[in-house]
Amino acid sequence: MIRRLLDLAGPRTEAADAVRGEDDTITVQSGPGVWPVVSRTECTAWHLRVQAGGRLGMAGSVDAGLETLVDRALTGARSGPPFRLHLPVPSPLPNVRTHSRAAGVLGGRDLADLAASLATRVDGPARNVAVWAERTMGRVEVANSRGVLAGYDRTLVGLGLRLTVPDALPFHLHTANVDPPSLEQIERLVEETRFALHPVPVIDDLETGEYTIGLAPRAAAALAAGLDRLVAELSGGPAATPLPPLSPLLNLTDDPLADGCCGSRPIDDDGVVTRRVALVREGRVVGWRCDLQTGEALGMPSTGHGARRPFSPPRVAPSNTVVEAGASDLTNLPARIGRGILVQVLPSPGTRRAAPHLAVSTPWAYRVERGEVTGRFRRLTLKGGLLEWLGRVQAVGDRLQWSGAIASPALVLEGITAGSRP
Amino acid sequence: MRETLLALAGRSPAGFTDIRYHRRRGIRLERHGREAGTPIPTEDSGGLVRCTSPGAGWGIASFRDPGEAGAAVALAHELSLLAPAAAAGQLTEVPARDGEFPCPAQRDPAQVSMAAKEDLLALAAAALHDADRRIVASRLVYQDLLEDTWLVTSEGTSLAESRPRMELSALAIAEEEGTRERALDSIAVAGAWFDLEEWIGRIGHLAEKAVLLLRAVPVRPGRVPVVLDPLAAGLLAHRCAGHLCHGDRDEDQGPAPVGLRVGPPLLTIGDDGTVPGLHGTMAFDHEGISPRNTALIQNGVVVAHLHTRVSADLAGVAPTGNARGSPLAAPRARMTNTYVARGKDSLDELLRDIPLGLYLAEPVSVRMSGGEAGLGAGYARVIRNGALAEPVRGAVLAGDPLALFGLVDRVGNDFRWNRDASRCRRGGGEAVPVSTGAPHLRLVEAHVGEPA
Repeated sequence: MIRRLLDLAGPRTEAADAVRGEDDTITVQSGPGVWPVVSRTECTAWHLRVQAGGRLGMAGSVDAGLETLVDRALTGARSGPPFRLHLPVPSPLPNVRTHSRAAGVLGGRDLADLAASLATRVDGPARNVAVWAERTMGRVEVANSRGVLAGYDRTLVGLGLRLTVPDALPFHLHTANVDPPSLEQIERLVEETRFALHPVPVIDDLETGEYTIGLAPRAAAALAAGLDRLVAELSGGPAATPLPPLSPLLNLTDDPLADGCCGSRPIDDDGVVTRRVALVREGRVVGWRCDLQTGEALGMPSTGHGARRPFSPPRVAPSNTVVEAGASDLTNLPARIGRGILVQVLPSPGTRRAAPHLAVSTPWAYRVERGEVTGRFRRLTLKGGLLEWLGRVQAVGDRLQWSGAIASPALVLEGITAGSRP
Repeated sequence: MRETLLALAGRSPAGFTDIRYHRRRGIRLERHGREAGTPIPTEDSGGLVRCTSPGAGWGIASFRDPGEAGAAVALAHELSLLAPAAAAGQLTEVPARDGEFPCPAQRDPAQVSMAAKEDLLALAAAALHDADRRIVASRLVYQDLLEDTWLVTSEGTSLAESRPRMELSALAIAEEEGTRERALDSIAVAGAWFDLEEWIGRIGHLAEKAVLLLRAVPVRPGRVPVVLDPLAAGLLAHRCAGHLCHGDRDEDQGPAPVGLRVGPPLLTIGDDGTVPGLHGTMAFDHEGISPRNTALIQNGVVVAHLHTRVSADLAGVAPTGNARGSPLAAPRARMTNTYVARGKDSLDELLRDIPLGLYLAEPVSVRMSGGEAGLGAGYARVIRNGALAEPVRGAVLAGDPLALFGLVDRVGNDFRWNRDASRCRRGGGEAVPVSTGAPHLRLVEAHVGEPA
C-alpha cells in the first residue's frame, strides 16, 4: 500500500516520502482497587511528506483513503515554506532483530498468566501489588520517490508492577523487550521488589551533607535519560552551547542496532538506514542525532533518527540510549559504597535537567553503613545539578541493565549533596 | 450513527456494554519567527467498546470504522471473560439518557478560512518582533479541532456531542549580551474566533515580559511569604489538590482521605465541568454522566473525590461526571475545570503586610518528584514593603502537595477563570483539555527556590 501512496503522489510532486506503521496491542491489568481489564487496540498510522512547487507539505492519517492523504499534503504545500527535500537512496538494511515469533503469538490469556505469575511471586502482607502485561506487534514501512521501499516487523512485550507499601510512594518496575520476558528478567523484577521490601528501619531525617551515592542501574538510567536530553538540546549543532566536560568514565551511545531492544530498528521513518552514534566519549560530547530536516538545516547528513507521527511535524527521536559498561564490579553495590547512600529508583530530572540548582527526591533510597543496608530514608533529596552529578561519577559498573529503551550499569558518585528535605 | 451503535450495544452478549466513537478534524499551523511552517491537517476517528458481565472483568476493544463496531463488541466480550479476577465491584446504576449537543455553525473552526488563520499568526509574529529589537526568536502554534463524540450503552443511553476547540500558544525569546530569557502564553476557546483576535491584540505584553526577565536576578532559595496569581493558584489546585482527589485509586499519591484537613477554613477547591466556554467543559462524560460542580476541599477539609461509575460504586457514592478517555483509551476519573473559590481580600490586602516576599505568576510547569511538587513561575517579582518590586527569575514553589495548602492564609476576591490552553496527562495517558480558575492566593513561609 505504501508503494501505491507514492505512486499516487509521484506525478503531482517533485519529491515525496511516507511512513506507515501498524500496531496491534493487547494489555492486561489487575490489582487491588482496579477492575481487571483486558484490552486490545489496533491502529494504522500514515505520514506523507511532499515537495510540490518548491514548497513543503505534509499530512497524516489513521483512517483516510490514500487519495485524500495526497490531496491534504498538497493543500498544505500550497501555503507551506519553500523547501528542498534531499531524500536518501536505497541502501542495504543492517541486521537487527526487531521482532520475535514467540511474542507474536501471545494472546490475552498468555498475558494474564504472565501477569499473574509475577503477582504471585511478589504479593504478600502489608503491600498492594498491581501488575500489567502488554504485547504490541506490528510493522513499519517506509518509502520515498527515490526508490526506497523497506520495512520491518516489530514486537514488544512489557511486564511491570506497581508496589505500594505504607509510608512510601509506589514503586514502579518494568521490563520490556522484543521477546517475551525471560525467566532471568522476571527473576530480576522479583529481586528488585524484594529488595524494596527489605525489612529495615525507616529513617526520617538525614542531615544535609556530602555523601557517596551508589545508583542502582534503574536509578542510573534516570540520569542517563536526563543526560541524553541535555546532549540533544545543548549540543545539537555547531551554534549550540557546549556542555562542560563530565566524568571521563562516562560514555553514552545511541544504539538502534542493539539486538531485540525496545528502540531497535534497521531504518528510520525518513527512510535513512540506522547506525550507532557515539554521543559522549570519556565525558565529552562528540556527536548528536539528526533527522533529514534538522540535518538539512545544520548542513549535515541525517544520522537515521527521524520519527514521524500522523498529525505532527517530523522530529528527531532517540532509539536505544546506552551508558557503556565500565570496569568496576558493582555487583555488591552496598559493599562498594561502604558508607553512604544507595538509590534504587530516581525520578527523571524532567524539564529542569539543565538547571544548575536541581533537587530530585526519592523514597526508594537506603542508608549504607559498613557495606550493609541499615535503613530506608522516608524521603531522600539529591541536590546540585545533573551536570554536577555526572561530573562526579567515580565508578561505572561492568554489567548493563536495560530499563525500557535505556541501558545503564550501576554508578557510584562521590561528594553529592543529599538530605531529607528539599 | 447513534441508532446503529445503540442497536449493537443492545445486542451485546455481555451484561453491560458501552460504545464510544470519536471523529476529529482540524488544522495545526506553526510559525517560527516570521517564517511560516507547513500546515498539518488533522482528521482521525476511532472508537472503543467496553464490556463486562457478572463475575468477569472488563474487556476493551478498539475499532476505527463504525462498520467494525460489531466485531469489536464480540471481541470485548470475549476479552472480558479472560480478565484475571472477578471480585472488583459493580457499575453504579444511572438512568438512561438521550441527547444531542451540536456545535453552532458560527463556532465551527472550519468556518474560518485558512488564510485568516495564517494571517492571524503572521500578525502575532510581527507584533512580537516589532515590540522590541531584543526579541530574537518566537514560536506560535495555532491548532483547532471539531470533535464529534457518540456514546451509547446497553442500558439505553444514547448521546452525541460536537465540540469545537481553538488554541493558540506563543513563545517569545529575548536576548541581550549573551543572556536569553523566554516568556510563554496561550489561550484556548470553544470556537470563539474573535477571542483569539482580541488576545493577539495584546500579545505585545509577552515580548515585554521576555525583555523584562533579561534584567531579572536569580531568586535566592529560602522560605518567604508568597502570593500566587490566579494562573499559578489554579495550577496549584489542579496538580496538588485535584490529582490527589481522583477516586479511582491508581495515582501514585492519593486519594487524600475524605475528612482530612489540608488547609484553613477559608480554602475551598472544586471541579466544575459545566462552565460554558471553558476548555474542560463537556455536555456528558465518557460514561454518559452530566458533569457537575464537585467540591473537593471544602473549608480546608477534603470532602469528596472525582469518580467514574466504577470507582463511585466502590466508594459507595454517586458518579461525578468526570470519566474521560481518548478515542483508544478507557475512561478514568479526570479533572475538567478545577478552581479555588473566591475569598474576601483584595490583592492590595494580600500584599500589604508583607515586608519581603515573592509574587509568582504565569506558571510554566508543575512537576512532581518523589512526592514533592515544584511549581515553576514564568514570571516573578519581589514583594517589598507591601508592593510589587523588581522581577526575579528561576522561582519555583516547592513542597509536599497537600502541605502547601496548609500554608494558605489569605484568599483573594478577584476570582477568574483562566483561558490558557492547559492539558492534563494523568499518569502518562493521553492529554485531555482542562481549565483552572482562582483568585490570588497567599501562602505564609513557603519554600521557594530549587525545585523538588
